[in-house]
Amino acid sequence: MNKFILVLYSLFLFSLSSIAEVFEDTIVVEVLKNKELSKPLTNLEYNYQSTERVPVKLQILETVSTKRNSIYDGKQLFFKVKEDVIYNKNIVIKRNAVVKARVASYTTKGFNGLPASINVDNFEIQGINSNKITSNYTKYGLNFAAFVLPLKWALTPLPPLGTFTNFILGTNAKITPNDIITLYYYPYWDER
Amino acid sequence: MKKIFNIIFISVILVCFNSAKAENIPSNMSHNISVQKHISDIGFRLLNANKIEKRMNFVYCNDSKKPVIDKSLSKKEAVIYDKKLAFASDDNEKAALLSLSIGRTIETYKGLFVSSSAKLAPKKYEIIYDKKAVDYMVNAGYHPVALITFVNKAYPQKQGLIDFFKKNKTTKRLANIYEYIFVNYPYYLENNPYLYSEAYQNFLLTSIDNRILLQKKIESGSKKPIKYE
Repeated sequence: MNKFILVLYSLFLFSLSSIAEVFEDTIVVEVLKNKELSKPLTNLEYNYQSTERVPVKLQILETVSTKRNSIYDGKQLFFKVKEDVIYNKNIVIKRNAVVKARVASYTTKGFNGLPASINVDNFEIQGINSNKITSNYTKYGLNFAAFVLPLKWALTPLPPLGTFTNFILGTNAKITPNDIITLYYYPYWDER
Repeated sequence: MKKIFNIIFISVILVCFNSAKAENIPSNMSHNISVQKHISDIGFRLLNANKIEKRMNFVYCNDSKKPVIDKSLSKKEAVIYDKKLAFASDDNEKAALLSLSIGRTIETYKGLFVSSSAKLAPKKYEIIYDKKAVDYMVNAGYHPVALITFVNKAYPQKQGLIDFFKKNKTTKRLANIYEYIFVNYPYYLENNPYLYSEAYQNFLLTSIDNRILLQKKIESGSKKPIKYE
């Protein structure tokens, strides 16, 4: 009798576990199916012993700004190399070579004079291992916080004037072809 | 006779208790040292792999009486509290915790006004730090989906009056992290060892509405940011 109850109980437990719902990641199943995805590159073979570096000056081809939703995470940006990059009397990167990068993240302008910002990374230069270049650049708009905060404190004894300073906005961030972005190429950074 | 036995019995218990206590101190210390070493190793790997040229250190704090204070913006020091570390079940999740701290700490090097921006608008920057954490983890060879499982386990769904101005809903943070991984590192969603873990399944269960929004965005090809709940 006891065995019979034990069998019934284990069957009940088994049915419970099969009822428990397992959620599939539908976006992955439906959108990513049949797509060949390669594993993103990592940077684990580093050796930062060498201090030798060469500056790489870049200019963006088309202005990018945080204005009017013209920017989004992951947006591809294209830059050109401003002048030949020479190392050991050899041209490592030619002038006008196109460099691909992406918008890693951005913030919009905010209250209290806070500026917008654009963060660019993953610079890809043809023929250069991306692990050998410093690859992060951030551009901010004008930050009025230094002006807004003292003003807010000064106006606090006269309510509600201090509160109104909250509504002062910072400015949008934009990267224009006039901006020179300097990255550094370290030729020996991955040699162990 | 009975009294003598009682005295012997009590003294034996006291000796045992004291010796256990004496042994406990070094064992606690060795535990702290090993956790500290492990945290420092993961932290420095994240810094090195991401070529972060700014110096910072990682401090393990297991004092439960100390209040959890974020010193990253003032001291350039990432303090890892036991309370949060307890939620990290593997190295990927520990890396997730450290990556979040690194993102905040780096802000201090961008000048007084930029770091004050992060203090004035923590809600806006919280999402940025989450996205940065994904990048840091991927570059250092950790699985970024661990950030989803870690945040889902470790952060409450705050939404009080003060939190409204300071913190995002955790569901919103998770949806943004998920979208960021989907857009930039889809490989990790397809090769996801956390898919059947309880924390990730719970994320899938609680993010159905947000994921439907994302699916619609993908299908329409829109680039507008989604207002997640």
